[in-house]
Amino acid sequence: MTVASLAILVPLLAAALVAGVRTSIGRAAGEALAVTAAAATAALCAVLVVRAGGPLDVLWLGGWAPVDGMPVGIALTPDVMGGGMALFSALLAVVALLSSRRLTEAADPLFHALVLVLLAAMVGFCLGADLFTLFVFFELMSVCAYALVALRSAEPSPLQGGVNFAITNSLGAILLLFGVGLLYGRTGALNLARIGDVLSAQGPPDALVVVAFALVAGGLLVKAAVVPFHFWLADAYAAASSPVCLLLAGAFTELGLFGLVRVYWNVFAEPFAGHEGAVRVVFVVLGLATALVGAMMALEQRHLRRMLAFVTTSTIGISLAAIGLLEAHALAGAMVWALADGCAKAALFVGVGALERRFGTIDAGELHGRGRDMPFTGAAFAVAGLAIAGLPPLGPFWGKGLVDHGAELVPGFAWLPWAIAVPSLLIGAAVLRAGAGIFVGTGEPPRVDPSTREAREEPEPPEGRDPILTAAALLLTLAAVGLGAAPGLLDATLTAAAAALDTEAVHAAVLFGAQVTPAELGAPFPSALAWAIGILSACAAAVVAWIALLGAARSNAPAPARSAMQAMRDLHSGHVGDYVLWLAAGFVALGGALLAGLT
Amino acid sequence: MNGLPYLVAAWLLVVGVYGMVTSRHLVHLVVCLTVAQSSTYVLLLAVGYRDGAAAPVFKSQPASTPVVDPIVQTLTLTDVVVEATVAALLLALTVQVKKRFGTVDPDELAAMRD
Repeated sequence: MTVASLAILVPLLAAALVAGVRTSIGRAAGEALAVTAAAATAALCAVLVVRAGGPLDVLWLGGWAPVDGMPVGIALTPDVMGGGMALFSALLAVVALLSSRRLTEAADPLFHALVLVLLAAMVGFCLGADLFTLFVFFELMSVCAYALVALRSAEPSPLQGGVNFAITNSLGAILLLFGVGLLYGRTGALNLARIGDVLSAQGPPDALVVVAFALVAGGLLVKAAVVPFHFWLADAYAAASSPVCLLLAGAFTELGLFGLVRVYWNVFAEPFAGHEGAVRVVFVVLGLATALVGAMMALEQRHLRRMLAFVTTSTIGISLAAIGLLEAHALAGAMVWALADGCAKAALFVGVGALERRFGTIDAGELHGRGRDMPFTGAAFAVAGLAIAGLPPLGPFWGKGLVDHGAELVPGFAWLPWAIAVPSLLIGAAVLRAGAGIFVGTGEPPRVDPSTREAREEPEPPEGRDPILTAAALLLTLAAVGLGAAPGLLDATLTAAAAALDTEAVHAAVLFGAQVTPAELGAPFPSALAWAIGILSACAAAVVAWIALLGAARSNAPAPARSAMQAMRDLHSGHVGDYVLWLAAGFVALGGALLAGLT
Repeated sequence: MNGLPYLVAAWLLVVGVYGMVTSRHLVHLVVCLTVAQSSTYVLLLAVGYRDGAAAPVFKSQPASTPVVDPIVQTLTLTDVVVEATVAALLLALTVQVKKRFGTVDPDELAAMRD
């Protein structure tokens, strides 16, 4: 029972220790301490996941268990989904801490402490079962992330990225809390299960409940960087160092969607019963819009980390579209996809970090052809690009296969696999193009804008290749590739997704201590159509990458397409006021769409 | 209990967001963020308010006294702490921005982006 609280306490206390003794024990010892603590957290989370196979083991802090289904205390619900996300976050934190010495110039010992607090908050967010606990951990992890992004404050972009990130996400959190306040006012409860029970006893949802849902969901979607809340992400990721990016892209952003899953199925699924169609349309449309905008912007970028930031936006959109089907197979698929492609993105961020360390730049144009003697990092780029594009039988494909199966089960959404294939082939192409240009030297180097070149300082003298970073990139790529082959992973994910979607069982376990063992499910083998889509989209990714490398697309593109791209670039202005305006407009649109569909 | 506190909460949120959208100064921007945040304080306290009820401290009054909801008050306190952290961090960033770039105008910062 106490494993769940230890998984939060260990990184938190270790962070205090690392911060407190950092001056006296030196950097290496501090790093060792931090890595040990993160690894211990990962082990605790692994225990949680293994134990969570049985009935949901609810932990009431301080023994404040509910009486007659009326909860007063604070609960932690370590289910497989939450424990799994926590475990994944902890593993990425270990990678980030291990690679930090090689990838960050500013050797700040506080970096380790911040990563550990971020980890504690992420674990707490994964396990929390009431709205306010979720809000507090949500804010804690955000504050750590703001500081981590702004930490490398030697150049203009980190500060600007950090400021934009902090302002937009804080506003998102405020709106989320506003929604929490409305829900508390209506139900007198903060526990997710209790709010859900009270709301469904009150009959069909009225405007206040729908607005509260829009505020809470919107707050979480700001974190997940869904269009039109996504503007902060590229600025923040472009500015942050590679270890911070891999942690944020792999886990932090995904947790916004995880929170949405938690809140939707624990609170709103029952009161909104009968209106699933409207919710589906809203989330699938949001997801596809995010996936497409992210993919098109990713193809536009020369700055490698900014490109990967838009790849992240796009993958989040794909996950949201899958989750929006409100179906267990699709949710399980989104989880597998998030894991596999989180590993692929982490590998790419490590690879970009290795390039930056060696050549002092991450501009695709300046790096053109200079990575010819880094075959392994290049291979990691190629494989990760193909994996993200959905090539069978690499890891992300298995997630897509489950999503495709889910789409067939939901009437009217059989077209979704094709719609998802388009953005994933485009982001695969963006990665492949960058990889082929840098590591093979294919095509003409993109023109270098003289103004930016003059502004930049002289590149540092090239350092040697770093075998450890190469190995890390390869290992992460292997993890992304081999995930589908892990025995039982797909079945376990599907079982976990079905358990998380079983609102009644979760409520009975949380409020009345019922011991329900979730039924074991077997994941279906991907259909022939899924294989065909996967192979087609990987081939198309290679073709698009080839065309983009030869520069044919830009000069031959029709004028409207070019001006549309220019307009989209202009939208990503970097001006925080614009971002706030988009955020506010997004909330109004989300609320309006949900009100129209649900009342 | 009337609807006034809810109107005030909504108003604070709207003017806070308006200020953030039109801000030309980072300190002003952070203050607008705290204005928007105070809307949640008003909302939470209004939700837990009961007419004629006492403060939720039972030391000097019988346990049957009607009191306002203590949970929202603790939520508000936690919220104040969270917001203070965010504001402090943002102001620290603003100081760094001013030191390095000599400007606190988001427009000029956006133009400096590489």
